[in-house]
Amino acid sequence: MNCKQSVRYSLSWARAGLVVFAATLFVAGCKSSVIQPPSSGIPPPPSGGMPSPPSGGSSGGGSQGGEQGGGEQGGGQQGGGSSGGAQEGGGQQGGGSSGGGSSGGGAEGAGSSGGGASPSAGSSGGSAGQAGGVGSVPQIEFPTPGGVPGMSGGAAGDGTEGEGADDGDGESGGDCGGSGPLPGGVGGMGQAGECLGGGASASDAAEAAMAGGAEGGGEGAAGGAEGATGTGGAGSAGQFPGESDAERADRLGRELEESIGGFDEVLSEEQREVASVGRNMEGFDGNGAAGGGGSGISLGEQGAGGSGAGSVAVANQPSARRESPVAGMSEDEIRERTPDDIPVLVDDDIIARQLREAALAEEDPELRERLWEEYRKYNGI
Amino acid sequence: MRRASPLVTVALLVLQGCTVNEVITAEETELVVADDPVDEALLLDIGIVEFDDGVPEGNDPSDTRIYEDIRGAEARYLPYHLKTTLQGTGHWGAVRVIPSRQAFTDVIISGRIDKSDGEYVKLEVSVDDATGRHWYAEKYTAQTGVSSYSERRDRRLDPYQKVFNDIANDLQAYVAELPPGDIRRIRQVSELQFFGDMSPRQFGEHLATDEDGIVEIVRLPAANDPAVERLRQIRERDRLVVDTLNEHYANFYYGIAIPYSAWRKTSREEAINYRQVKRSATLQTLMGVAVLAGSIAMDTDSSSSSTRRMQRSLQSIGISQGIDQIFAGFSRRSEASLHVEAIKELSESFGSEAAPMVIEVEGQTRRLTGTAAAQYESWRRLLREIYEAETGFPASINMGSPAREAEPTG
Repeated sequence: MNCKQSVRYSLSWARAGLVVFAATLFVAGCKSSVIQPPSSGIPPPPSGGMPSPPSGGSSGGGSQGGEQGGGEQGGGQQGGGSSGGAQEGGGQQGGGSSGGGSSGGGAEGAGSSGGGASPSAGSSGGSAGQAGGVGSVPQIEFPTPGGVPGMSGGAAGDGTEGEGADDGDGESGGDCGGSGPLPGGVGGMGQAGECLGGGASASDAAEAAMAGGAEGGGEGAAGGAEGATGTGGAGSAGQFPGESDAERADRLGRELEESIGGFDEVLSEEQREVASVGRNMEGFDGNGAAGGGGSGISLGEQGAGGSGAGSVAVANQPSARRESPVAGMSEDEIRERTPDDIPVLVDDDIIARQLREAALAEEDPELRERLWEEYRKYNGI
Repeated sequence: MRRASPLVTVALLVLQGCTVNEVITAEETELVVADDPVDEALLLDIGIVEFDDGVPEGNDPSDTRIYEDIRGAEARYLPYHLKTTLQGTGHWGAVRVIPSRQAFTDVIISGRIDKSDGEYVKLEVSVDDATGRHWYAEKYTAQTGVSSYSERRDRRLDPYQKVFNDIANDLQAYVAELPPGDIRRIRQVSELQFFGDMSPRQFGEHLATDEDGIVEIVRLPAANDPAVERLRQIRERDRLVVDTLNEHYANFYYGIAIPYSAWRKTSREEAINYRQVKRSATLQTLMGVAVLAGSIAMDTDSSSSSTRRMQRSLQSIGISQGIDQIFAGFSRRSEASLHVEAIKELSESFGSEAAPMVIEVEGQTRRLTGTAAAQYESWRRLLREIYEAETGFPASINMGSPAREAEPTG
């Protein structure tokens, strides 16, 4: 090995060392640019570097200076205090932080953490509630220039199965973001001493037995209560820049419709649960006109408004109700097919009723009479 | 005194067969059902508030025979049965049981249970409409009969059916007197009350209340106002909430119907037995006293020795019988208290069965109304923002709290 070779050898080692060093530096540097995905199921609101209006849902996170303001995930604590994270907007602060999302407060499972963490939109309000459980709402940092507009949070979070709302009082851990008097956006609506947005407020909802009820815009959220089905509230609306009032009204109208649709689902689920309870309606499903009072009452059936006399519209028919083979028969038919010595309206037990129904449904008069005979024997008539 | 002899003889004979039998026939009222379908625009919706259980303060069940758990169950059971009765008449729109008066429905019925022991029922019912007009308050009573709890009866008819039919007929008679214009106004007012509650900024001034507390319409919303359509959608959900709630009431109603009927039947029998035994004991004691007094006063100084002997033996029999009857009367009186004890045991047993069911339906009611209240709050916010976007009015006006916060409507 001559001198040149040894120099080359040293250089190649030096290069390798440089490469390794550079790679190490690169890897180390990468950590700072990792974007944490939101853990919530909240749909990301539209992003945009737009100033959020004062009425926007933004709360909490008013960021300050060039730093991340309320960011710091104010709440993050149990129960959702999560206040919105502020945005960093293009090197500036996005004043319009993500809305306070106000978690509904409920701690575990409580309906809906409001959403928060939707920084790019700076929206408020909870969008679809998620199973809570964890108060802290992940903060996502998006390089949005300027503030972000507040927009209404998703309505109707439907967190279900809420459990006690400890911390529903919105102790959102940290400070409320101060108001963000920054160019490019208005920070939260927080006022001194008051932590709006991040789940501040709320809830003695243990009484109200409801979870969630997050109010975006940060005016607090109803806390969770045990076993409640919560529906998150809508957040306060913000406005996109360039969006006209009419467009905003349209957008809000759509949100309302979506929220109504969501509530319909909650109610449908509730009705399914109610219907799953079997009802003992023995003796209540007799046919024909009622005696004595002469009413034609049909329990469990709700005559809808507009139903006229005698034509009771069945709105809430219990699902557990058994379909009788004689259900389609008119009163006259039933009377015709019933022998004179057998009362039309009686409180039969199951066997007697089955015999009666079989007899009434039988077309062959001879067979029918045999069935009635069985009925007589069974009832000792 | 000579006449005392035959009287004593008769009294002695009566005493041997001294039983009191009470045969009570159930009172009935025929329910007035609409012959023809009523114009839909003239059908009023009814909300029946859970009844006041009528349990007095410091209630002692052994004195009053009012059991709180049973009354708690009746406060939900009886309104639900009234709902089914009214629905069957065809005179009304939707009839719903509602947990409280905080409801925007056309007509509100509230009631208090003054008495309900299986034999007698006494309800005090009050009816108002959405405009604040008090229709009437009336007391309704009925006595059940032997056939009221028959195994063969149609269970759709409650043993207290007379009372429900009376209430339904009175309501129908009242509404039949109302001019169609008034009925339409009641419907409009209840709708505007709901609108005002959901969107006070937009509809808060459509109604005004006069000195007498009667609500009047100041103005109506424009027919093509998109907000009206939105609010009607929401009102439909509000009704759906109450319908769902009524399904919970229905589950409760059907769940408790059989044990409740059994309690009423047995309670009634025991009450009648108690009354009969007590009356019989009193009668027996009185007769015993009368026979004793008559026997002592009997004139036995007849000139004929055979007659005198006969009279004296009759006198001694009378005295003996009189004393026996007096003691038997007291004995029977203590027997009556056994029936009271039976009623108590029976009531406590049924009360403990009913209490968890009441708690469950109450819990469901609170949960559902709480969920709805949270949802309505978010809708109020959205509606306000829509209104602001549509009109450009500032958002800084404080309109105060909504009239209703926790209860859905009918």
